[in-house]
Amino acid sequence: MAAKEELLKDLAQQKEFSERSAPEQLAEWRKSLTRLFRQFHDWLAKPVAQGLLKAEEVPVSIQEKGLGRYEAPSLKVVAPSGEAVYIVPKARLVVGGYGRVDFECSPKKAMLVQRAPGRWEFSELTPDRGGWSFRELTEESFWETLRYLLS
Amino acid sequence: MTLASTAPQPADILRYYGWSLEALEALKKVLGPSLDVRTMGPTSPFFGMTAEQFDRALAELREELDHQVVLMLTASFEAVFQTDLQNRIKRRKRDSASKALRTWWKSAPRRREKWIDLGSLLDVWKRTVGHGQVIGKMKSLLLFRHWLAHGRYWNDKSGLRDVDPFSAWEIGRDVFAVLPGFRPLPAR
Repeated sequence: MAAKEELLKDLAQQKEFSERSAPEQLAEWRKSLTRLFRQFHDWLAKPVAQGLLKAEEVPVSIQEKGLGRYEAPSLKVVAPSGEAVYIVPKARLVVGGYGRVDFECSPKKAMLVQRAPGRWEFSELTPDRGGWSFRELTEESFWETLRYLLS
Repeated sequence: MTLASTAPQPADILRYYGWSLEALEALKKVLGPSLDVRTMGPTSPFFGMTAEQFDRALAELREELDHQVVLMLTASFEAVFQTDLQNRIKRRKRDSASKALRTWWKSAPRRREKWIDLGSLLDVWKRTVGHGQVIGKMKSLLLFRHWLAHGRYWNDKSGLRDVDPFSAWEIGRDVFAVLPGFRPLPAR
């Protein structure tokens, strides 16, 4: 029964870790999403007021292994043509980052990854440059991404 | 045809498979999305994957690895059969199986090329020593390898469903345990 005891010990450690760190991690993630989406609203405010874009907030429900189910903000940015960009959080737990938010305008897509707490970067796979290229999230890169997706 | 002295043996292929599984497990531990982000370099194709995407990528890797190893393992079984045949022909062994194989070899239509379709060779073995069931399984494995080797563009007809390297190993083990003159494969 040594195997059972070892497994149960591991499971107890996992349980303790997830009970202790998961709520903390989730709270931190939701806080950074709130800050991020507030920033998006600020950048979009003027064109929305001018009637050039519509920005609809659509809460999404996300299920993540280890964090469970939670609600998160998302945005639907609609151009006068009807074309829409969906800005949707994908997950807090991602390889190499502290969370990911996708900009989607099918079939085009851009990936925004939080590479350090509070530091968001658009990440693009560029094999000719040996892997990923990163561009810091600024108002300029935000608009460049929207222009790319809507054009 | 000159026989190579360094052809990988079935046990070598199985060892490679064990190492590859260990490497996949290490990849999961190093890059798992809930781990420290500092363990991952910005060149990784896995960057940004969610836990579900990463799990799917690992499952795909495992499936492809399994197919590749089954292909190579079955090829190494074939090498065992083919080199055994050449030995029986060259050394003129006097046991009944060797005599039957030599007789067949002389009449085989492709003998000048000194390479024989393994399916036909297995048929000779079945006629000579019986063991239809285990040899039949090896023939099915051969069909599965054929399917893999030709790009999987038709529906697999081996009847084996999805063969993993361990079940392929067992098929080889069963065959080499009953056919005379072969060294049995060790338990995995």
